[in-house]
Amino acid sequence: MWMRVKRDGLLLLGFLILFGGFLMLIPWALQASGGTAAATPSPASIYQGKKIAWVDSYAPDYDWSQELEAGLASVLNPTGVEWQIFRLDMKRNPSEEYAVKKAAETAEKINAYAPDVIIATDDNAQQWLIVPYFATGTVPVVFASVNWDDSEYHFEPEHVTGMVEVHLVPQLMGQLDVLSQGSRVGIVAVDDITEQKNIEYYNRYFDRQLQIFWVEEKTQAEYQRLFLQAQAQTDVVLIGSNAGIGDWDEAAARAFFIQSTEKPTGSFLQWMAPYALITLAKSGQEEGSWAAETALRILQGTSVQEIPVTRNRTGRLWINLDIAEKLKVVFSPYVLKHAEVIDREAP
Amino acid sequence: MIRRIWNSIPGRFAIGFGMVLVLMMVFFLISFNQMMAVNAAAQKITPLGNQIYSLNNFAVQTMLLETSFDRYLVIGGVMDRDAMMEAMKNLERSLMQAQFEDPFKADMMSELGNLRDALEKIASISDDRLSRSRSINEGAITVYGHLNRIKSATRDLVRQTNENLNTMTLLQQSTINRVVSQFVVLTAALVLILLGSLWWISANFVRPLTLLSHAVAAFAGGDLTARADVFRQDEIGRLAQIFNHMTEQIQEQVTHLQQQAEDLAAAEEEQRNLNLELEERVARRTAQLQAANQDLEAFSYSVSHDLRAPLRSIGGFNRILLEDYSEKMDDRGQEYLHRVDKNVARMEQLIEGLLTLSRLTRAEMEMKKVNLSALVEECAAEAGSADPVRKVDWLIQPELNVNGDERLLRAAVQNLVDNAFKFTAKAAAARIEFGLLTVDEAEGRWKQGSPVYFIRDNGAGFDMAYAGRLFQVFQRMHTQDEFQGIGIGLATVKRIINRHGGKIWAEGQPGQGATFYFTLN
Repeated sequence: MWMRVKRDGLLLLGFLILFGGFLMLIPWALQASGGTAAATPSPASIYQGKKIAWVDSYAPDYDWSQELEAGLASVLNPTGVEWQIFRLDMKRNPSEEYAVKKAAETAEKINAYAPDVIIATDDNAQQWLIVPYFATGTVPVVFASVNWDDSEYHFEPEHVTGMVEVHLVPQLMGQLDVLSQGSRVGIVAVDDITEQKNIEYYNRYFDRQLQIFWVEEKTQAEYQRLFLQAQAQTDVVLIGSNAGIGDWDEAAARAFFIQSTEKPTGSFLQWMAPYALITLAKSGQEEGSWAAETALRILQGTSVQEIPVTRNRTGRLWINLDIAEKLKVVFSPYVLKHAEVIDREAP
Repeated sequence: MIRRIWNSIPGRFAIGFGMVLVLMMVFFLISFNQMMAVNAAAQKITPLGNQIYSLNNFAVQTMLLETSFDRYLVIGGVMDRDAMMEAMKNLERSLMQAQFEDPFKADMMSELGNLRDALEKIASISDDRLSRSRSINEGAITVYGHLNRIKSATRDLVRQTNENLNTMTLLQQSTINRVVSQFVVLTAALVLILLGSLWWISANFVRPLTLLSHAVAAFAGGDLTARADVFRQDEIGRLAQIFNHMTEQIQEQVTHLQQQAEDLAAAEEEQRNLNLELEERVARRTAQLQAANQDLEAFSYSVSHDLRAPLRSIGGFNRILLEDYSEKMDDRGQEYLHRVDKNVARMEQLIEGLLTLSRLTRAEMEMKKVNLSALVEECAAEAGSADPVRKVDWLIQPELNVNGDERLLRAAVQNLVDNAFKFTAKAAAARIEFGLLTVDEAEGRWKQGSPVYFIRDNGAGFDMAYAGRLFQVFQRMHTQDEFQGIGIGLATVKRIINRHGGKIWAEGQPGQGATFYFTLN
């Protein structure tokens, strides 16, 4: 009898609990128009606690470094991932002794920082820091702005991937060919290692038919003389680097080229844009943003080996309206839509 | 109060239905709320979809204008210029027709105004285009700048609208998901509660009723120990208690009745055994009596038969003496011889009576329908013819038929009629009556339903103190001088009646007459 009464009591209690539980569901059920479901975690939560180190071969005031940083920041900052910049400043300190010492210090700082991914830009960073300290380590490395080819560093694909930097020769020549009266192409450039390497790769496109006018004495007068010579001997002239020419007068140079240009001219160097009809330069922002996106992919779990080494595919296009007026050139709609204008003012 | 409600079935049902009603109302309200939420989310999406459609149309018109401008820039013909300006109008029209909001619409109005100016400026350059390449390049850059800003602003707004749309879609999807999940959970909860209710109803009502019905069925099937194992405070519990109490009482009574039945059966068995024993004893005694009777009858017959020869011889020789030698004897001697002759005659009557009695006892019966009234009338006529002087008033009930042996019944009726005729000889107004007693008259006299016949007279009668000797052989109530007789007649009647399975008895008073009653099977 007592067991029966006890069972009846438990029955009633259970029923009331069930009923109460149902009533407790009501407030939850009435939230039908509540907030959105957090179906995917926010980027911040994915990269929480992750760190990226960017090794810049140069200094913050260097244009190229600024472009790279802008590209990196545009990708990394919205994600909330922690990243830190390590500058080697080797533009102003090109000596080997400095490079070795700076690289050792930087390596120590990076190890202390303990990043999950290292981004290293330009050849100096690869040569002096990545190869001796991190190329075979456990921290993945993403390189960028390595000129033309990375094979000389013998990176292991399991640890290192990146973007090699090439000049967009076919794209620039496609625009110049439309304006030229012939197929001969010449280039005027200061004779140094960088330009030699560049021209070596240019010549692969031109099937070794590129006429090269080396500026040996590294003076503005010689550069201008060789330009006139190239213009007389070819149908299209490429404006090469003026690096190392100590007496370069920009205003005089601009005036010279506006007045003297009679053939379509082009350049791959942004700082030479005031002197060429069309300039198609590499984009530090593209390389910086690619390196940042690749680093994020690695942080998300993609193995380094799955990301092949690539090369830059876009560039910045400038047109010089003064030279165009001189040459009576109306650019194609494509160029006019995408180009930045180089006017009489410096770019 | 709550306990009292809970302990009654209507109270429990009221509570249960109340809860179910509340649950259904809540369920309805929640479903309504969820439908409204889904509807609200859908209403937010529709304008965004319309805006995307308008933006796409605007973007297409922008692209068509850009294409027209590209063509005009490359070719520079009048038709291309007109097509370009028509595309410009279409673009402006698409902006005006779309219901865009500021600042986008205002910005676009401004851009389109500037764009129109730039286009018109380029369109006005019709001569020597190459010499005016700077103006064309600059104008084109301006046009493309406007177009790029328009496209960029359009893209931004499309992206923003898409984001809003995605957000709204996600919100709607989230709402739908939430609604679906809530519906599923609430439905599951409701189903759970309903299942609980069913289990509760089963446990509270069905199971106790099942137990009770099983107990009733078992009890009805003969299991008097069956009890409803239901211990509750409500009506079912009380019903079970009443049932259990009732079954206990019935069981007690049945047990008592069974005990009585067993006792009765034992008594019947004992009685049956006693009857059997008694029957055996009766049969044994009857057999002994029958054997004794047979021996006695055989003896009586033999004696009577054997006595007749010497008696006849005595009588014969006595008559010879009387006829041939009476003159040789004195009067005394003759007197003695007459006495011998008289006693021999009486002796012969006695022997004849005994032989008759013996024959009646041993004779085979032939049963048939016999008119008893006719027999009485015949016997009365014979008796009257034997003494024609006497006057007797005969009252004979006619047509009284019986089933019996006519010869034996005639002998019995003749003895009874002769007896009545004889004992009314001294009556002043003799009256002899034969008939059948009515039902009322026969009441208590013999077995219920058996017809009782009677012969009544108003003759000498007899003292009832000697009624027991009336039907015995050679027993007489009167002297030979008063009424002649040998005392065998009534014994003979009794023997005949008995052989017919009947009974005979007599009632009378001295001087008041006598009535002989008899029955026949």
